[in-house]
Amino acid sequence: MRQNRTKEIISTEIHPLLSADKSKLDTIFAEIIEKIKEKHLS
Amino acid sequence: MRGTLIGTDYLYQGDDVKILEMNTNSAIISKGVQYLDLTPLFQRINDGIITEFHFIYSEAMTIGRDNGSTTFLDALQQKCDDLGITFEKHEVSSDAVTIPNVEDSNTKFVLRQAYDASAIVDSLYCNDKMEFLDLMSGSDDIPESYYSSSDGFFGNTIDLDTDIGELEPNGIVKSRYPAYDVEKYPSIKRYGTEEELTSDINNLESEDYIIQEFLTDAKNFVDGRSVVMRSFDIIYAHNLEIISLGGYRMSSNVPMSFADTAFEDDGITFDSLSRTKYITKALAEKQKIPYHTDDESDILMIDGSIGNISTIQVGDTITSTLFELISGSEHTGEPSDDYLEHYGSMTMTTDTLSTTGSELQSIVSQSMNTMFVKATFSDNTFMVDSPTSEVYIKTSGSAETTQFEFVNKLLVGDSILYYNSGSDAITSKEITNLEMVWQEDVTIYNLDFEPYDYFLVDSKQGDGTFSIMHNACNYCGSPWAPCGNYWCDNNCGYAGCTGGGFGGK
Repeated sequence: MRQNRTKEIISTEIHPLLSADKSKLDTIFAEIIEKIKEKHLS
Repeated sequence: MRGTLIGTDYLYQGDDVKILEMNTNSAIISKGVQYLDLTPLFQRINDGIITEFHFIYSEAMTIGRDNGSTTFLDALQQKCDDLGITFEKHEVSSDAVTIPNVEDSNTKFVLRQAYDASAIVDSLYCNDKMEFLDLMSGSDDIPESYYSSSDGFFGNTIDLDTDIGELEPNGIVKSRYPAYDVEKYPSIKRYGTEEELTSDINNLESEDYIIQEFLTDAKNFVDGRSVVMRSFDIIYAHNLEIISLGGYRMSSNVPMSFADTAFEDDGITFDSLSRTKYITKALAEKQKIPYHTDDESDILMIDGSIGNISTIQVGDTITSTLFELISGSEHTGEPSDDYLEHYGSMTMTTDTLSTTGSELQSIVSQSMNTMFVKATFSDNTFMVDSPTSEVYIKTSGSAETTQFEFVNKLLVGDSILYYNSGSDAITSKEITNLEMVWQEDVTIYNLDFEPYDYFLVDSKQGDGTFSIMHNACNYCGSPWAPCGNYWCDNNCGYAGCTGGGFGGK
């Protein structure tokens, strides 16, 4: 049976966002979209 | 209803979070999918009206770089299956700038994870950093920046911070557009004075480059590696409503402790290795070719002589091994549906071993500074090879099972198998340690031998032994393995790729 491997020696490590981070990112992304709407939809 | 998936990168500076960039063909790493929340998306979709979910995607961005699974795509499909919504895939190539036309209707949700040059968000704010900085001008959410272009963009808000450690970065030079020399950019700087910053501004490669403050904060490091926060949001409908899917933090390939910080001759620019500690792009994104051997490699020719990789010519014939596998027998020259799950045994390899000739069809090379893997053996000898080289091994924990494996996926306990040109015997060396090593100015090669894909690389132990290596696939022309497996297989979704590791691959 073949060993199918996912772990790599040279690799990017992935970590969850902290809950405080997520709310900050949501707020900033909403500001970006608001600016796009102001410029193109208003 | 149409929606667009946008990936946005952020970094901390103090308590503030600032935007680096956003993209509509942003990669979702498979092992990061577990941190995304698809619930808000399907709460919106499951309204009793939408019966079809169409997913337009660039395969290179959907399949994880860290393994062969299509985790994000699979998660979407599973959710649709659970809700009784028809799921339809529309795949585009990694370099596509347009998308297939899927007619919109009230009963459809069309999600796009691919670049579309006809969309304003893509063509203006994802493709062009100056457009984005101009859009966000005056906001505290963007880094302090210098940019100036003849098409009317100008900004200069950098208030240089020199009150940091002498080895800490305080500036970064980026390309305005996505196509740039990844060996050089983003270029990381430590300006000691305003004059040094001004000099850099005056000597930018062209007006298509910008300089920004380097965002520094302890929160931008996890477990000793630099990290960037990447969020994923869907904007949909005509009034650009937002569905947040959450995100994750993704790290550099190497820890900060991997090497001391050093500078180029100008004393300002971080050298190639030091820069790598701050770059969070996947290693393979740097590579223009799916290389599998380097300029140190000597190959066994059909006449028993040794040919160096740098001198071998198209049309030359090398010695290729033939042996049967328990599953997957593509060495015979016939496409194999099961090569993806191929494996063999020591007994079968030895009992069926023979050699034949195979001709070099093409050779592509690239010089670069990059990370290789050093494998040390039980007899204290070692090999240093590129992570996407594919070698024949006896697997860790087994006395019999063999398979081809990528150097980047080797395990301590694996044994590299060698062909002995004098005795025709197969010998092995067990790996006792694996580590990353930095290679400066290494030339890497992608070779295509046909009709047989195996070639023999001198172990340089002086004992006539050669490691058994496999062609890499470059049919799709992608700089990394979009199929997730590095080799050609029948699951490759690229148009024109028939899989199997044969003619033209």
